[in-house]
Amino acid sequence: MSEDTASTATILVVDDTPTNLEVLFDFLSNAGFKVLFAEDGESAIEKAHYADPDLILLDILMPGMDGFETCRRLKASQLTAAIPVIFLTALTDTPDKVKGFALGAVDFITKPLQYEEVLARVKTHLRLQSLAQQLQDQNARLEREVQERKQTEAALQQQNQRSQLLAGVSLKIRQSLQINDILQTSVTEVKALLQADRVLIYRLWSDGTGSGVAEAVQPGLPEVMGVVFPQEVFPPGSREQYRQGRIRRLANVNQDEQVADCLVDFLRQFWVQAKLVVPIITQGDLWGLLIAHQCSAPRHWTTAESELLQQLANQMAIALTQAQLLEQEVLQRRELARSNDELQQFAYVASHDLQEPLRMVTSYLQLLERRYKGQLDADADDFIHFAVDGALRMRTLINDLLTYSRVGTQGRAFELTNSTQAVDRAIANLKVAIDESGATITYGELPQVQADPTQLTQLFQNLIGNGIKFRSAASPRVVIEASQKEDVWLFSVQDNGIGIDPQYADQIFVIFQRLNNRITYPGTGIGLAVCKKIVERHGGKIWVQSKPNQGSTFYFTIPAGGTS
Amino acid sequence: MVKPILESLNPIEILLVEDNPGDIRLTQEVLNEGQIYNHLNVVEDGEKAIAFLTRTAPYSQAPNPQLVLLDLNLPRRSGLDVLKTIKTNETLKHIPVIVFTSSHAEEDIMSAYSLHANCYITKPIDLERFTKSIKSIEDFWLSMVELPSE
Repeated sequence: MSEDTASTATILVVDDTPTNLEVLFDFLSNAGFKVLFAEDGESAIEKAHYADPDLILLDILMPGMDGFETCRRLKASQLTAAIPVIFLTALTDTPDKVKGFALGAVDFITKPLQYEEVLARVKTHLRLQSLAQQLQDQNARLEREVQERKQTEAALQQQNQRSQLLAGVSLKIRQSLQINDILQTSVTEVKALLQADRVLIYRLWSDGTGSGVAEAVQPGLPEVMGVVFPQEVFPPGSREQYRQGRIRRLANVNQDEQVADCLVDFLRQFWVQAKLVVPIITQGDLWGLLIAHQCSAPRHWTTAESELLQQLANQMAIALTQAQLLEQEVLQRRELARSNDELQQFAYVASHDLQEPLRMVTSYLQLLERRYKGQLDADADDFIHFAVDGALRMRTLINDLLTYSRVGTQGRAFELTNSTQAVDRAIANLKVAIDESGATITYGELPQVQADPTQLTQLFQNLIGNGIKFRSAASPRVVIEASQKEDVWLFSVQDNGIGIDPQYADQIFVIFQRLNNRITYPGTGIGLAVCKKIVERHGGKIWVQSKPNQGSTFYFTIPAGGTS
Repeated sequence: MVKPILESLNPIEILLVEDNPGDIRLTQEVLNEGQIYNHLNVVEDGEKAIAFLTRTAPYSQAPNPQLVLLDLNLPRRSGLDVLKTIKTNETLKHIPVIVFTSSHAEEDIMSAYSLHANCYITKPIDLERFTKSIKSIEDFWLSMVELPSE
């Protein structure tokens, strides 16, 4: 306590001797204290109560209530207990001092009074008192802070717990890919989370009716699943409100006037006393409702609970939308795969089975030609010739079709394939055409790729073969190169042939598409279609860059994954 | 058609197992154009083939074939089934069986050889090569090699 505060301290002096009082009053007033006085115990207690002094100087020997009794009462009262009491006494007996301390006094001053001593003791006790007060204040503040922190912590923990639960449930919901799994997981988790008696997912159908599609219910309670609710239970107006995001909290179904009678009947049928309903909205449509029921008793739903339920309904909506998309995609993919398979099967069977009758036509026409040529007239010979020719062309077409469909049906598993070897094999297969045309085939360093070796050979063979077949006046040159571009190998097969008008750049890869006359350039138009199918089976792309009379460069890619 | 030089010689007995009349006739025609005195016995399904080979009614009087030309795609019992029966039968397994079929399928070729087919020939699609195939069969199996007699 600073000197300033000491000076403004209030001291109550209690003494039945007016002379003593007077002297103390003067002395302490001069020392800067505010001094009150009382001449007996009763009035001292009274003054102590209303003036709240900082210190009491109390005479022991007083008529009526003595100092000890006065002190006892002061200490007994909550308002005055903390005020330090110093006894003034002529007695020097130890038993009295012990009694005084036992009663709560802080000190004794022996009469006759030495005023310097009085001042020193008063100041000391005021300082002690002040320190004690400070300590107490500080303690109280600390305690308050601890309390506040504990509360914050508890709130935080609760919030944490709730968001952890929410995250856990959300994760479980979203990990379910099947719609039924999502629904069942949701109701089970929400029921545990809210400790509700029943959690129901109510699906709204387009005709206005609705039914439970998933339910978690306390054993012994009736199940809602399988019950179809008529349109009256859930009128369009109510539907619209939910679509706009309404949340419904009913603490006591029986006392709520807003609940339609028929709904009350329905709710009674399932023992519902309180309910909490949030909408499940997917892509702007009201998909259904997430409903929590309390059947054991009415229940006041907290805002936190309804928010939690809405958040879960939102998570469900996301999961449902994803599942719907996934389901559609799986269906589409399955359908596509099925129709692809069917088409391939069809092509294979058609071409395979067509061969039998065609063989008959060809063989007997040829037998006819062999046995009767020159024995009929010239027209007959011509007719037979055209028929044989047509049959032979059809045989080539069927064979090509078979080759084409086999790319998909008879392909082998991919293995690490040396593309240099594939090119070498292709060149070997083309030996006759290369020798006849005087073609030069060159290639740089070629990579290893994951491929069907037979098909890779066929791919190079068709592209190199085209470069030779569609040659210009110059002797054919074919250059094969490869380079890695990000995650694919880019191959190029460049020739110096007649080239292709860019407007036909896509058309040439379509089966049986031909750009040139069949006399100069025989063939069915299968080669590039097969190339395209092979490249696509390997997960790559094929295209051409060319101009008429300036040669063509065919490019194709093969994924570089898993290669060296 | 060249007539055999010696009528007294017994013809070579061939069993053709084939359900396509066109192929039956074609095989007959081409064999008749050839030089070898043969007798072509024809059955149209696998069941009859086995009855013929085992001389079961109505084939109790059937000759013992010295060569079998076997199609694979047959009604009732498949060609592979017939092949298996022949090659697991002590009294039949010495008979050379030439699989003569339109199937190019890798698994058919593999199965046929696994069941001890003596050779596998795919029916050529034009007459020229068909004739060549039959001639090759004639030259090799009916002329060059020694077959066990009946």
